Amino acid sequence: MIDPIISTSAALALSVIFASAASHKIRHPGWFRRQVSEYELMPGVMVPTAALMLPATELAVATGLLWSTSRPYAGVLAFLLISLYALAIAINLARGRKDIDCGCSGPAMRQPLQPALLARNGLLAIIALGALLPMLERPMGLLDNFVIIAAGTVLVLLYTTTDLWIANRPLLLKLSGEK
Amino acid sequence: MQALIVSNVLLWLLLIATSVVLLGLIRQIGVLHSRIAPAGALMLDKGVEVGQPAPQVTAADRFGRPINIGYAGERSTLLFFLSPTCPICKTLLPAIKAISRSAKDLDVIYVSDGDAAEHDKLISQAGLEKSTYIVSPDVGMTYQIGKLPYAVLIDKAGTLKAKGLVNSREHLDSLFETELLGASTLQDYIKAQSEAPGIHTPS
Repeated sequence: MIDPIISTSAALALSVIFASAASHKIRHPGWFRRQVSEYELMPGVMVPTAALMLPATELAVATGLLWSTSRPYAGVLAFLLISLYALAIAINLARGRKDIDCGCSGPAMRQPLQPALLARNGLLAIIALGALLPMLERPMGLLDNFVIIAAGTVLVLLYTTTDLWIANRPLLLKLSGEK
Repeated sequence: MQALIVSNVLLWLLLIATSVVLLGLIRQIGVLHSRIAPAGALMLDKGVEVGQPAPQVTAADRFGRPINIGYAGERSTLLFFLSPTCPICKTLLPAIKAISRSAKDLDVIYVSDGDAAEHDKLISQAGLEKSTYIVSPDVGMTYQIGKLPYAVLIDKAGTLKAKGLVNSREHLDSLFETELLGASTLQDYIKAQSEAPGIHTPS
């Protein structure tokens, strides 16, 4: 049992993160189809279906997290999706394919696969667990709602920052000639 | 209790502000990385040397009006060689437009060749409808352009002042810098500096 502030702010942040991820994939369907096939995890015939299903699931998760009744299901789905992405990245890292694009943040921000992305997904999974856990019942005041929104905003901002930070890392390594 | 609530709200607001600043900083680092991207290997330049009179050539722009290049006139000329198929050319267009707006006495001429339909698409995308845009292989052949995006700066007297492969805004600015410093290449500049030690200010 955890306090509703923790669970609700985590769900709010996760919802925004998933909605933004889905929007990249829906706005550039051709790019995402190429991205899915580049990961080389499934036979070619399944790629168009998967490229449609993934953003649809993300959108469903983003919407489901907003209501407390559907939150546990959406939370489980979010956790599974995050683990699935982490697994896909881990398999390709193990194959040594570090040069393919991650496809994490839309076509505008390309970044190669790197172990740091697994850590990022680990953090996302922790947020998903936070949204999943059962809530304590207690009356919510104005200040509680303020804290939920503020904490959600900070989480989203920090996530975006971390994402950019990870994306900048290979560029820096390239500059100093270590890669 | 009141003080605690106020302090708590204030701390949250400040934390949000800090996160925004952090995000802004990281974004700027990303932009810096893209600005200092590799510029491409240097090559031996062909064509007319810097400091010599520019080759004179007349070509029709896309409306059929004759454009004189390399003749003495009242304004300097910047030739920008580009192609609709070259992505770096497109990223440089905003910088070229900014230069064309801010620099006085400077005519910017876009030069390219190839399929007219692709050029029309590029022109409407980049908002170059009012610019002088030449689609003709003659100019590129006269100036012996081997790589794109390439820029050539010709002064009022028709002298070729600077030229080079331009991959970033910095490269473009360096063309104008050569005119300021009075040295046509970096090598010339370094040579002049070593001959006159202690002078570091551009005249």
